Amino acid sequence: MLKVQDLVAKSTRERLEGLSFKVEPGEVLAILGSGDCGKHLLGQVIAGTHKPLHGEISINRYRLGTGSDKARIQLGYLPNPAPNEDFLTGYELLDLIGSIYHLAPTARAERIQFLIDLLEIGPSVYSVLETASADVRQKVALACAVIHSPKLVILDEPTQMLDFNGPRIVGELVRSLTESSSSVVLITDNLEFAQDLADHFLVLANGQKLIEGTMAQLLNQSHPHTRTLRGVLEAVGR
Amino acid sequence: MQTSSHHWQAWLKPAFSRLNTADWLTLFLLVIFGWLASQVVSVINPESTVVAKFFPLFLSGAVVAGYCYRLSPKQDQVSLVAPSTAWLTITKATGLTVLLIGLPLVVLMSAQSTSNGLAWLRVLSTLLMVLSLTTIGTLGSQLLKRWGIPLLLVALWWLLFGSNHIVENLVQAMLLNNLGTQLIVLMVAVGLVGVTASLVELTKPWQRQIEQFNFTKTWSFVRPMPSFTGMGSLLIVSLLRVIRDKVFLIYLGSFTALLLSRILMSDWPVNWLVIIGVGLAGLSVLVVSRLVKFSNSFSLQYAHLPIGPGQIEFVGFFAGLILIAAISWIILWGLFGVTAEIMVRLLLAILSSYGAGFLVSLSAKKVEHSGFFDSTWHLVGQMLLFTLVFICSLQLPLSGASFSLLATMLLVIVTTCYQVTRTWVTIKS
Repeated sequence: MLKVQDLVAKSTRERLEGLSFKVEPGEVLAILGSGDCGKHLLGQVIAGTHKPLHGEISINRYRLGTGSDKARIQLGYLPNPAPNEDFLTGYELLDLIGSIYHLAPTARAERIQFLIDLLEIGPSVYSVLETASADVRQKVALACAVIHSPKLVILDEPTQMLDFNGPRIVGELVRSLTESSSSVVLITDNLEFAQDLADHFLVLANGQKLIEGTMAQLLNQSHPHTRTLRGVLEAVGR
Repeated sequence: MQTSSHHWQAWLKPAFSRLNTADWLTLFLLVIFGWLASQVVSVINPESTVVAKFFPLFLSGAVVAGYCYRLSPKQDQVSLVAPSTAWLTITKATGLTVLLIGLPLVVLMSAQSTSNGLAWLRVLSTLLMVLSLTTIGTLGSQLLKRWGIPLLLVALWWLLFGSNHIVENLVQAMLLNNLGTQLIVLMVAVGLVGVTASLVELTKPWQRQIEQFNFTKTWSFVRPMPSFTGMGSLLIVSLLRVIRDKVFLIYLGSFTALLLSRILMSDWPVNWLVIIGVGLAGLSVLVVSRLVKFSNSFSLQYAHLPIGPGQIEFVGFFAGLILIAAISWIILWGLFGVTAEIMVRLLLAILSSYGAGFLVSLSAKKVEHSGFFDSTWHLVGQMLLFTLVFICSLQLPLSGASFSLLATMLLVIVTTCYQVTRTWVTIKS
């Protein structure tokens, strides 16, 4: 579904140096690492909002760059911080984004209602986003990222700004996506949340791959008594 | 009959059920204010028209009606105003009434003194007017949303009962500097600010529908230029974006104040055309800056979507051009009755200055994302250039102005072609 090869990119705070990895259909990949390890930049580069210096990215066999439009239709992206069009209500924004992806009106309305229920947005979805709470804005942004049922979803810190129910709600969203064979790239600092959801983990440090694999593989590669993702990261960090 | 009774109950019950004690007190104050204001108007000018005499009273009545039917949070799920506490309600309502009725009256009384030669009172009256109108504009985001309905009713009343008087008296006010007619001019101006806000507010759901529909059509898959239909859609979206902005109300207030200052001070040594020129320059900067801000904000926030901003600035300039042409046409032809030659000159000047402004925006394209374009200095620079070209064009003979316009437009076309080609090449590569 997603193939990243020899990726080099640089922003003011982060950099990526020759990164390569793959995400299979229906797989959840968690990208982890300390503050400026390059994980947010990686999300931006895959989403096409930041141009790489070198390397190749293909989404569902379409190369980002040459076939950008075709690649981008396959993609849903929740940036960090989440975008919001303040003039519109949450529902209107969802409707707008849905129509940009050419969803038919009936299908769009059904999909929006499904996401409102799934993400537990409630009646606040009819508020103008400028006046809505951070929790609602984040949930609307999440819904915008997946409204067109993309084949690949990149969620950059999806649980931020959400209340204590956030991880559960996002978890249900991710599971509903993987059930329909969509792949999810989860960029997060919430290790427990990542451990619950992800099939595969990629740990970055200074823009390079530090360690990669399933939970079992990570446990094998790190300290023998470690049983948690946090433990793995602490072990490899040393 | 039964249906009719039921119908009226359905309208009245929700309106009155919303009023608490503080609300009733506020409404009582408003009616008293309105009645007092009517009396003051009659004292100032016993021969003032029916419109002028009963305008404040009607305004109060309209405020009462609007207050009862104000937007409920349940309808829109948005609390348009802060939670209604007794003191907050009274303060806001009284403040607004003073702004709408009291200040213009003070200004009028000051202006009457000015006819006795007190220069400082002229300055004071102008300042008060600017303060009053600009404050209304500034408060637009909150208060005018609430008072939109009453102000719309005021507008309807004007249309139904006083349309002929208004037009006639407006022209008289310009020519004769009569205080009685100035009152009407002033009220119309204050009303215009509010009516604009109320129209914006009341048509919001409709605006959103149109906006989304057109927005979707325009922001389609990446093309070097929006399609012809797309350009029309973008025009509508752009205009909606601008009039929805509270800065537009502030601008409208300030511009009206400038116009009225000229009306009140008949010997003010500032040319009408210069005032309109400055006003149009301000409007141009407003339209352009809002559009660029919107364009930048959207394209930055949603860069991952399979859409391209196209040449939004280009279309935006056309949007502004049409808006400005329409407004200047109404002001100049409708109210001043200017000659065809002046009109042609003005159009030439507007087009030239717009072209110059457009060139500035294109030259600043590279630094947009660093925030330079949004900076005040850049906008001031653009406004100055606009005004300069505008005034210079007016001073030129007709043939010279036409030549200047031709040169500017050629530059605009060449630069735009370059931009389009560059975008096309980028997409193709």
